[in-house]
Amino acid sequence: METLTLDRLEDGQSGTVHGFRRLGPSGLRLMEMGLFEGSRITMVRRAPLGDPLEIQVGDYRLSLRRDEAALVDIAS
Amino acid sequence: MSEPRFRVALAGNPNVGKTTLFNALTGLNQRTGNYPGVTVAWHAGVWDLPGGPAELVDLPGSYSLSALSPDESLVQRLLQGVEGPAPQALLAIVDASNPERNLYFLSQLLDLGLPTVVALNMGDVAEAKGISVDAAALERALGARVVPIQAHRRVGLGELGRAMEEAAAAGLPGRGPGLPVSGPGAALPETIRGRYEWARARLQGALTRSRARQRFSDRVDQVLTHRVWGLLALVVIMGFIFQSVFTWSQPLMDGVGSAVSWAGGMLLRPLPPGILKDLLGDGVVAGVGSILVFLPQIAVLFLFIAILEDCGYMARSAFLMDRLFAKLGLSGRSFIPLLSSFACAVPGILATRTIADRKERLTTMLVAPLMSCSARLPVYTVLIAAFLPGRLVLGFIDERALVLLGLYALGLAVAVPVAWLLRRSMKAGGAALFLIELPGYKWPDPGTVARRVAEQCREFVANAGTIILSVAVVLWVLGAFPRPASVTAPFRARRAALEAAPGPASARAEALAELERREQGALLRQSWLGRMGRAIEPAFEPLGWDWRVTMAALAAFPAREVVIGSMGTIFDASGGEGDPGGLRQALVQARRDDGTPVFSVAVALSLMVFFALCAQCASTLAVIRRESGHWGWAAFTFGYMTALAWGAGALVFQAARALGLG
Repeated sequence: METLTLDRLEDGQSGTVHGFRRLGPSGLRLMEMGLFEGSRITMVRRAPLGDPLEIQVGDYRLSLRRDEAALVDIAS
Repeated sequence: MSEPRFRVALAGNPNVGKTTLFNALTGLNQRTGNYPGVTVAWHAGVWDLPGGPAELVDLPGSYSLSALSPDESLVQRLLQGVEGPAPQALLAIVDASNPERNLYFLSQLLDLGLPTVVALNMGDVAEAKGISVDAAALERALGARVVPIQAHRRVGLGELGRAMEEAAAAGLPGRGPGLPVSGPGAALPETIRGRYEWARARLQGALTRSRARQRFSDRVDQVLTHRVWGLLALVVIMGFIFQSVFTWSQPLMDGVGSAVSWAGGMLLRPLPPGILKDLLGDGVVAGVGSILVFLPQIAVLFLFIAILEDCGYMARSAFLMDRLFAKLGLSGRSFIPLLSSFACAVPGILATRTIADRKERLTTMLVAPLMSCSARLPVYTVLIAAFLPGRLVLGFIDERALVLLGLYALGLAVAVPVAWLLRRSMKAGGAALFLIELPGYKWPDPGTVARRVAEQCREFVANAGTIILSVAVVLWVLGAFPRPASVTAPFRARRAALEAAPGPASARAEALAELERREQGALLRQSWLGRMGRAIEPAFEPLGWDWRVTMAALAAFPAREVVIGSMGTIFDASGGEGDPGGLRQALVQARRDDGTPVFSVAVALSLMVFFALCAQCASTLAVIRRESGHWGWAAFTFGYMTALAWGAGALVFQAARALGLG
């Protein structure tokens, strides 16, 4: 098992949320959207210019920027 | 019809069919408005329940009540009766294809303790994703009625009404997790986790998963968000929309223009010629015309915006373009509003409603009028045709094309630093978070789209219309008075002489019309507007403008394109507005008091640059006032754009003169 931040997941790669680097309002909002310890996340794709990212969270697709994704620790 | 007996609030996540359900339940029986102080629209309608009518209030779609964003705090205040009267019951709409996150929000709604009915929507989408939610099992787990519906097919709505009637009569709330909904405890990590655990536990016996088919949305997205094909598709889609806006709305706009002048003529025919007829004809009818002429563009553009939004592509366009806007402190959500503003800033500003973050929305709104709209095009083309002979630059580029392109690029280039500065100065209070759901694609619901278009058109006419009309009338008065006898007497004498003169009737009519135009020009130059033009002439001297040019620019305040018609009158163009050749000639021949030409290439360039950047458009300012909720922002937009336009105009004039184009 290795730990990395969400923005470093490869396209198509999945992982489990492990924790947050920093839990400010952005982190709390991500938690409310379903990213918290134990959530399974899949990186779907990156936008053509490399940012933002599209991820699968639970049963839906969410787009977020690399900066916010870098707050989330993933175990894959 | 009897009074509604109680108030039901309709709440749910975005993209779950909430608006479709609201429209299906209330039919045409709706009222809309804006919440005081905020730029969020409210919709209320009458829902006919088995026991009689109830009022149904559509709340903004939100993911949470914990108030991390202003819109969510509004939803919370509305539900708890802090803002406006509190609802007596709740209708919660839940997306069956994404049950967990939807139940997170539902857990907060249930904790409010109101009688609640859950509408379980999008079962068909869920099935395609291999998700099945058993409504009866969920009902037992929640202690509240759960009714499966298909809002877009109007399925299950009768049952929903019966369930609401019973729930409201019994006054029984559902069973939430009992965690804090507001206050500091609501947004704690433990609370959020607790709610998700609750949601999972409620779904335990109700949710079954099977193998998903490959989803239609996924296949579409492999193309539409692809790094090459996705961008190409975006260009094609936007190109198609622009093409349609121009090809569809141009004939409609011409039609509206002729219809208004025809109707005006019919209405005014019984009136004797004179000042009243002029006021009604040139002030009121022309003012009404300048409002209605916007409608085709607003309607056509909004038709596309509503379709893009309803089918799910809007979120993709934001995803594709976000990177370009991020550096300015904006996001991909500003893309469609700003792009639309190249056709017309009015629908562009109205489209900013899809931007959730308030500062981001305000910034987008304030820079939207910098995009060169279609009303500026006639100003550019007339001046370019009159003063630029079409020499070749670098041997192969037509200077006329270069100038036109430059004018379009100018607005865009100026918008970048302006947006950056505005966003920076508004930064206090937390940066916006770009977090958007990419919902599954679906066919747009024609009813929802039609309503959106009708609503925007109605609001524009009702709110911006009154302001535009008053501006048009005030400007007419400024341009029509005073009418000193020293000006009108010689014309009266010449008219009498012409009428008495022998010769064919057609030649006489033509001469009379020409005389009429010259009298109008003479009166306009004498008018208060003319005096204002003279008074502020020194201020525009750095731009190389004669007082008559200044006056034409003043007269163009209701709408930019008016400057062409006013210059025609001011410079005594023969042939009237329908004859661009006459206007061109009049502009080229216009002389100052000292005999030098009014226009040179340098003056034409400074005038075009001024119009590229100025806010001479009462409609845009009226819509900014309306959408920002404050006159101050409209005044600010006018101020900063006029300052920029003046500065850039002066710079261009001085530079062009230094290059020998003066």
